[in-house]
Amino acid sequence: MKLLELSREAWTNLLLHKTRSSLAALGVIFGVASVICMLSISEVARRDVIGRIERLGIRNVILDSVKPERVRTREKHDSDRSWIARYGLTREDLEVLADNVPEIETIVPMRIMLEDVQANLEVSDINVVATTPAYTRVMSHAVREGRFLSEVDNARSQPVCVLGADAAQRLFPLASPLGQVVRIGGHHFKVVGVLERKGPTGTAGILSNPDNTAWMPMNTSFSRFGKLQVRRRGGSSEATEVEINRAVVRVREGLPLEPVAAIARNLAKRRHKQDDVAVTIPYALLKERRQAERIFRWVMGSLAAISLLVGGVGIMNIMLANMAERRHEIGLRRALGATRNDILRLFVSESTLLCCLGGVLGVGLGALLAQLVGTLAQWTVVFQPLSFPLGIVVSVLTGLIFGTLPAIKAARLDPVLALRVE
Amino acid sequence: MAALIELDRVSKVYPMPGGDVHALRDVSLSVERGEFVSVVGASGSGKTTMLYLLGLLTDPTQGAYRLNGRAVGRLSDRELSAIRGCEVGFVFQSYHLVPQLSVLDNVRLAARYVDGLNRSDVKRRANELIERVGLAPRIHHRPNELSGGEMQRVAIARALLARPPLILADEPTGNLDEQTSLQIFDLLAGITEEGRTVILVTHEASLADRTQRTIRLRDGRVVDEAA
Ligand SMILES: Nc1ncnc2c1ncn2[C@@H]1O[C@H](COP(=O)(O)OP(=O)(O)O)[C@@H](O)[C@H]1O
Ligand SMILES: [Mg+2]
Repeated sequence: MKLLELSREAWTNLLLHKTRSSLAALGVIFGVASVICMLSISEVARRDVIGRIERLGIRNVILDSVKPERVRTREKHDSDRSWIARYGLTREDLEVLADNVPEIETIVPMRIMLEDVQANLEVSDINVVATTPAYTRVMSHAVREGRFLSEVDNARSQPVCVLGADAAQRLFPLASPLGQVVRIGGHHFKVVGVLERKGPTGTAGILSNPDNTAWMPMNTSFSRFGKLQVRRRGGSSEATEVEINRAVVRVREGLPLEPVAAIARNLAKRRHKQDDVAVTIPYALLKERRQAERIFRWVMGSLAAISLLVGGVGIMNIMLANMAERRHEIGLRRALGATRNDILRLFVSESTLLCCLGGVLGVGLGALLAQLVGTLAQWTVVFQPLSFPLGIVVSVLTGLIFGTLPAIKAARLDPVLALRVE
Repeated sequence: MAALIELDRVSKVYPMPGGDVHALRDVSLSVERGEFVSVVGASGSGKTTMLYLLGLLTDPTQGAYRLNGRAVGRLSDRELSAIRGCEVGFVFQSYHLVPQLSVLDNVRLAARYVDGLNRSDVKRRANELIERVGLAPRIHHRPNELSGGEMQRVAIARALLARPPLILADEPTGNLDEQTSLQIFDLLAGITEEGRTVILVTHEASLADRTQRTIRLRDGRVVDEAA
């Protein structure tokens, strides 16, 4: 085959100038490597963050109780804590909100319980959260076994709980948890259901890990554990009174989220003396995130283009130098019967082969770098499978495009001038 | 049969910013197969230009050129290149060997652009020619390991590889000492005995005297032809 012969000749010629060829290829290698690296790492960051935001529900408005500044500073200075930290959303807040805003379909409250969960006398670090039956629907968290908390459970403050997938696995690794009894802060709770795995939601904190959680009815939490929660740590104890840590507000289908969020913000301002409620709209976050990502991708794309351009210009430079140095050889080949096209092909095949090899090495190096960064930063690296062939194709194109100009110059060289010795 | 080379009032003008350079003016010439012709003249008199014109590396500004009975004036780059590959062998003053290739590969390069040659035939012929010019022991050496005379012998072997009827040598002994020059000259003279035409551009009157015919150029004109 002609192509094979041509590439063999190009390969021989590249080998004749090893140092120069490898220097020329470096630009392309690093260009492609950085593209591959950036693509796979930005993909990692994207999947992780977007997933977390999406799992908060894109038709929801999230109200979070946040520790106000006053409590924080006091905590810092008063290490021996004998006071009660009191802040955040209350059940009354949520009732007022639900009664006054017709756009709201449901409000799902969540309360973090500072209690331990035990099964068979073993203590585990599973989170305990109280909520209402609407949780599964509003947060799209499906039941795998048994059932979720019911209205009856809540109304009668039943001692029942439902386990997240990880919690179930850790408490009852061998048998089904259904019907088993766990101890939560000294009380017995019957396990009535297990949830599917959902993945992390939101950014941080106990509520971001629904799979490692045991869920109990809201009313049960108040009737069994009271409003005040005390956590003993070392010698001291911390008393906290936060009725509701998070309220997930589901807005009716088709209605905008922003007005609801604004009303919630106003309400919190009016009813609370301190600044202790944060309102977020996952959908807005998502949009912002996507916008930022689009910009990020453009920046990445431009950087990639620039680095390849630099690589291409490097190739062009080297090929021009190559051509000048091999002027006599060009003349000689013409004298031996090479056509202008033969000379063109000779040089284009050299630059293309060089860039192709550079592309292959660059893809390998990029994958390696991405993996390294992933390991160091503890990200799972997600390679876009298309990026590998694309990287190679783009480098071959770079070689073709930037190798053509010097090759045309070489082909146009008058053999008489090429053979002249000064 | 027509002569191998027929130039009919050929001129070559190089248009230059400082005014046209008339490298050849009205040159008419006919060379038969098997002739050994020398071309002499002062530097700048147009010898190289004439040789390159005969070898189809450049085209005449005016006049007609028939090589091997065929008018080459209107041929394409492709056709001209094909003729250069099969019918013309060049030998240059500064050898023009590819420095990175061995003696064998330099000789074989002459087959690179000629269609229809068999690889093993080419290799066999290259080996024969290298042996004939006395370089069999140096077959795998690089040009920079050879003396000037040896390099020129490689170039002659290369010029002969495709069995061209016409060998054009542009001052092939210009860089060589007297004794080596004679060896190269004898090699070229031997070629004509197999029916090939050799046109030798030279500065050395002693060499020109030993050819069958000498063409003298002055300012691009043929001024004197001695048989
Ligand atoms: N490519 C060229 N461009 C312009 N002028 C040229 C070129 N080649 C040769 N000449 C001019 O043509 C004339 C003949 O040159 P040349 O054939 O090289 O002479 P010789 O080989 O006898 O020394 C000279 O004046 C030279 O300067
Ligand atoms: Mg000359």
